[in-house]
Amino acid sequence: MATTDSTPVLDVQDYTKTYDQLVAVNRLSFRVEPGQVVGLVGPNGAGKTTTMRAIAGIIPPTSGTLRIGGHDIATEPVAAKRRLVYVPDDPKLFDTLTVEEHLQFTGAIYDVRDWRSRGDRLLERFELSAKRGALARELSRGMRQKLAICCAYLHEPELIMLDEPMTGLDPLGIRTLKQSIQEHAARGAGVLISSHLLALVEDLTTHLLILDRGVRIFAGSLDEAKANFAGGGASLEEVFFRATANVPPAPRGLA
Amino acid sequence: MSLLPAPLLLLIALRFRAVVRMFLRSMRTLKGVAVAILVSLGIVVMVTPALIAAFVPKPVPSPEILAMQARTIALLPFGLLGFVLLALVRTSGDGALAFLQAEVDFLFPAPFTRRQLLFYKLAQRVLPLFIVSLFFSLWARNLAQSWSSAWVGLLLSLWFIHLASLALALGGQMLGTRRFARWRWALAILTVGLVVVGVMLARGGAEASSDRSLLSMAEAFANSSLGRIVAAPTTPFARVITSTSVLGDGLVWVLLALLVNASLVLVAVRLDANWLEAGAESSRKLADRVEEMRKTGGFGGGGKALVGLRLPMFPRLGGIGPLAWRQCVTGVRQGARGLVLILVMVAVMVAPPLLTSTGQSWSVALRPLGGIVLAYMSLFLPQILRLDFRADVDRMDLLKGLPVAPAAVTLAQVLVPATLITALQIPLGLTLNVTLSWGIPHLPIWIPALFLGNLLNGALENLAFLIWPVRPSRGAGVQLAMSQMLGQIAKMIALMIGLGLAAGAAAATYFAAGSSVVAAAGSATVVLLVEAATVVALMTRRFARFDPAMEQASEG
Repeated sequence: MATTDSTPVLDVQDYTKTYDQLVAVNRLSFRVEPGQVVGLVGPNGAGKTTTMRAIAGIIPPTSGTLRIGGHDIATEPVAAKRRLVYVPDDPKLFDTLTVEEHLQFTGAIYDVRDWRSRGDRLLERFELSAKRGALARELSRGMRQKLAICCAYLHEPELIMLDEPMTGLDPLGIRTLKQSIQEHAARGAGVLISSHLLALVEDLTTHLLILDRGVRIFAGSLDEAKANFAGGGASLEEVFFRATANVPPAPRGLA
Repeated sequence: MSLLPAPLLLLIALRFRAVVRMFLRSMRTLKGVAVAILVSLGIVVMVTPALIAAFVPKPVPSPEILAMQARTIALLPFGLLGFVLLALVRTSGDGALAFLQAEVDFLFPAPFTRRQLLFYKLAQRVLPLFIVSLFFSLWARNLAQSWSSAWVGLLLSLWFIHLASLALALGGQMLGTRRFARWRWALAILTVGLVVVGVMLARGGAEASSDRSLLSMAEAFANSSLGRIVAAPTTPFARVITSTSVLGDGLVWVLLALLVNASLVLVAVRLDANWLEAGAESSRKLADRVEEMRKTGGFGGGGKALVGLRLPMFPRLGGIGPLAWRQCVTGVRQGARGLVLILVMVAVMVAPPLLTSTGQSWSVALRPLGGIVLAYMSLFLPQILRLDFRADVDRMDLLKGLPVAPAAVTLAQVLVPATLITALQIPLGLTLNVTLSWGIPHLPIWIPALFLGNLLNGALENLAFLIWPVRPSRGAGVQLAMSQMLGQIAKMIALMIGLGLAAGAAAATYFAAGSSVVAAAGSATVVLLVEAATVVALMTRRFARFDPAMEQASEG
């Protein structure tokens, strides 16, 4: 991931986060370049969400630096946040605001003058046009996820961070999301996706960051990961189990 | 850079519009209109007397009013300090930083400075505090010389509490959680020490006077040198409320109160602690508590369950046994929390008579309170223990799918809390009967009636829930709260009628059987048994017809 000299979309150096005696993330360093789609994978408790929340400026790092488009999130939080968007796992919406009002508010935050036309296109694409006037609390889980994604895409961010973005989406929604991620990467955005759905991550990502108990196990391209851990033709699932030294026993009868 | 940028103002406006929209939507149904009318009537009934009293001219304050004003000036500053102390010791100090989960997800990663988010939080409070102070000023008018003084004084006081909590929370973030916890306790211990010293001094003074009430002792402490020093930061607020005119004799106090509040804002802004992580965490805790309330309608979260406590499985008894076992295990594991709450409740109730019982037997002072404590246990422990359908609202599918008769399910649900509460009341009642010299003969023969009374109470609560299973903390705010309150009132009326019938039967039997207490207890027990059986039968019928899908849909 750290291959070019240009300003990376995301540059994390020696990021450490501790809670009392617990080291949640330990001296993590990695970069995301424009156009890269990085899969952030690891077992539960690996530090994936902690890392994303620190990059988003929600939690401060204990030590280390996190730069978004060259801006340190600790010292230039507004400039850094203007360039990123973070959709958490199970995003919370304003229950009593309508779908359209969420877009209006998001447009105001990121100073998107043409929020209405952009919003219309996004709602159309994610099949929410008919729900424009519905309250957020009247939406299903999948629709809420789609609305959060629409809000995230409204201002064309440089860095897109999605934590378990497929949860609750129907097959068409998953396909639309995957296509949209690839399009954003193609126009130069960096994307960081955390998910346990390894097959989907494999379809989508160009690079991989594997964490285990707060420590970086691997950072590099998908092909390098396969070559390092499981041989060229292996699946990401195989890579994951080998990288985290958590190889499940082969099913009986197949050993 | 603007302190409150346009997007945040837009959000406040959108949310205000949403409240109006929710109200208008609720008016589309007959039920919504009926509740709105009831709410309006309730407000009119509550406000009208205060409104009339507020605007009837009172040229010369009566001596009683003057005495009340003096008492307000003396004690209100301590009330405000008490609120601040409560905010300090109640949580880790970051409660004032709690946001909505949606605000955390949308605003924290957005390009706003921490100061802008703080000002957004403060701006959000403007309208609610304005309305609340306006509402209460109508009652405070009786203490004040003018209504405007009462309103301005209350508004400034509420702002003080809010700002002080915020400043404390930010100070806590600056100090770090551990150091703040140590400071917090040091301050709490110091304050309690000052109160103890103050009360001891006041008791000494009260020995010489005829008035030994707690209020008089507190007033004596407030008027002492130590009391004045402790209350100095909050005295201007009381002075504003009791001033003749905000722009006349109250103006200096208004300016001083504004200065205190402005200082707190300055402290909050200057500290500029990195509170986002603490804010996100306390927001999550708040959301968890709201969700717990939403699920149970009870007192929310709680301490760690005593998972080590185990009970052997009960006999099946048509399915009642395993269901009751499940409830018992939960009840026993949550028992520690319930006992702590009971102890706190008892302490709060017995402290005033104990403090003022100079030269008087404590048992005499506490005698009437024993009965009240037992009644409170019957009424409020079901809310704390949460061992019935209200806590199982998300498990109704499971309960309805069990190969157990609906009657067995409902019996198991209400038997366990009634049994546990009665089991706690029996030793307490027997002890109080001896220590407080109640002198009630044959007390144990009333135990079955006590158990059946608890069963009736729990069954009525559950019947009301099964008929109208709307959870609090979701939906149309005031209207929903009011409809919940109306439900509680209906339940209380039904309970009072049931208990009244049992008491009437007991009294009639007592006189008819030649002053026989045993016969009176027996007839009360029979009446309560019939009543409880009837309500449980109604519950069973309702449970059998209960449709979890409809209940979930009704939540919207």
